[in-house]
Amino acid sequence: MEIDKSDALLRKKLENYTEAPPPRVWERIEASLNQKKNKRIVPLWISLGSVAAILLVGLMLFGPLTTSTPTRNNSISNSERTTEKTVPTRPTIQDLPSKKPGMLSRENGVQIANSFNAEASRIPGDEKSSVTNDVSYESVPAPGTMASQVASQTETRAGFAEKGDENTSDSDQNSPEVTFLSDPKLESPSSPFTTNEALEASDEIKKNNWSVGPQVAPVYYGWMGEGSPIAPSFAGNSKSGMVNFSYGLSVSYTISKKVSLRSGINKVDLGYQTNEVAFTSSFISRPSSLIRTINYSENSKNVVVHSTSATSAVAPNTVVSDLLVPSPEREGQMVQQFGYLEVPLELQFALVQKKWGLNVIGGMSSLFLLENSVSLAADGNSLEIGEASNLNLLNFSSNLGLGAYYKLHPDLQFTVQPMFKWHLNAFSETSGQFRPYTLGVYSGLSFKF
Amino acid sequence: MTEEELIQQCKQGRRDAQEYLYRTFASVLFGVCLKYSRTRSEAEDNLHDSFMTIYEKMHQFRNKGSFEGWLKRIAVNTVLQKYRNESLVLSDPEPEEVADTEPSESYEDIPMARLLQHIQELPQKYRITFNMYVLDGYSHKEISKALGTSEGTSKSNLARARTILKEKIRNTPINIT
Repeated sequence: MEIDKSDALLRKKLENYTEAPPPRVWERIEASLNQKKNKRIVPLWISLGSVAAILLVGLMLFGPLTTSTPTRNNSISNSERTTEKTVPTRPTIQDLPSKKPGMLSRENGVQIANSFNAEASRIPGDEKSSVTNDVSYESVPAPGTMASQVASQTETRAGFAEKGDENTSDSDQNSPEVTFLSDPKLESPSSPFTTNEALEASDEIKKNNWSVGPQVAPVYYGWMGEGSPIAPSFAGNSKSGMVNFSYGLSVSYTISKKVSLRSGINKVDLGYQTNEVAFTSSFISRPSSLIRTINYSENSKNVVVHSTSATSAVAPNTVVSDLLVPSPEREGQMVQQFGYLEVPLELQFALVQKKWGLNVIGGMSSLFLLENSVSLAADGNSLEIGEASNLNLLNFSSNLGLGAYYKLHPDLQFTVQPMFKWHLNAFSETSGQFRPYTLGVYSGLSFKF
Repeated sequence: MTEEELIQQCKQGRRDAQEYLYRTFASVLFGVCLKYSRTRSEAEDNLHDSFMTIYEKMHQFRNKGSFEGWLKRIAVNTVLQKYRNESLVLSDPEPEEVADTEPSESYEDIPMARLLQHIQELPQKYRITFNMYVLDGYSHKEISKALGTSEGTSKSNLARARTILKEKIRNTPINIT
């Protein structure tokens, strides 16, 4: 039993053993929590961005094919039309319900009509029959009615809310597609059901689906929360956002009368300064006096920087100061600047479309890091000491804004777009809460072609 | 803030609550990690990983039983999982045979830091077995399940751990305080 006795002695001595961990453990945990938060957000935007990119590529590849479908005339038979129209039905909103035809039947008249419409446009001959047979005819409206429903439903989805049954011509009432096709007002080039007449009549309009133009914007870099991307010792310092410029080329493609997809390429410079900073130089470069998140340039490794803020989260001499610094300090600011190549992908929805117009814009941007510097400034002089090591080479922002335009000419617009961009993962780690955003007012010209 | 409020706020992912939880229990869990790890640096890593697991699994705590006990179990499990992943648990070199000796009564004379060091210096599987059985009260059945060994191996590991520890303690100069 002596063993048990010694076990009991050991247990008594060690079972409630406690010891305070060093502060760096919490700093690491906090950084990991921040990183985790960002990781949760980014994949969502990557997937959304991917979908939008696929949509854009799809439109570019298949859109023109759809609109240039060879001549069809209204005299061809219903079945012929049905078969031949299988080709252009791919990348359209109308196609979505046709993915699971079985699930769409029997619910109600509208859904059956959708199912019928979608299947009919895709499946020739027997399959079409089987689909229609599968449908409960009690709930299926008469062909003419169904045609009207399909027309009005599809039009509504495609954004042509004003068009209704009045557009249904008598001669086409046997087929929903024919009815729809015969509508000369359906000018959207993205519609897979566009008729010859519509195509011919809308040649001019199709030419104007694309627009391109230069834009420039003053951009303010701000943030929410209190923290620092540089070091915990600067988390409590006051900081000032800087106004820089963004310039580039904007491209947009009109998907429907009210919806456009926007992209482009911009060069954007951003920056902010950390105030209440003191710096000096030391004769000897000491790793303990260097800031971990800065890759110092060769001739700056003896520069010692610390915070003079009273609210600094960490006492200056515990992290970045050099106790053996012999030369006097200078007070100033630490300026962090970065430049990105920005590729936005946004949807624009028209609210007002007259001589002047108003749009609401939402989407995301991919930002590729091009420039990165950290410098010290005092009394009008500045010294670049290196670059930040915690900036992500690729990061994303979610964008929201308004766009106003004025038509200088039918094909030329002057645009002004105030945009808010929330930067999701600019830094791989930050101390405290530092959630950057940019505010910019983009103005430019837009040429339609 | 009551413990229940703290747990609730942590479940909501509030950073201030997460920090408060850390400030409250970090010392206790660091003590656990120190006993189960080879070095202080490894103990810090294990403490970090334990808290990340705690924040992630917080929604699984149903207010049944001691919250501190739940946190300690997560710390031990985090360490065990890590060692299992590293395949280190069963790959320790066999220590030299040490003759079984009479149990020492001198544990109380050994400074805490030195005692901790002796435990940390035990081969991995012996240290884990010894900690789980002697200090944290796990049964051989639970230990063998956790380490993927048999109960016999667990008992054998414990005996070897005790023997090595006693030998180390015997060789510790008494005048060190």
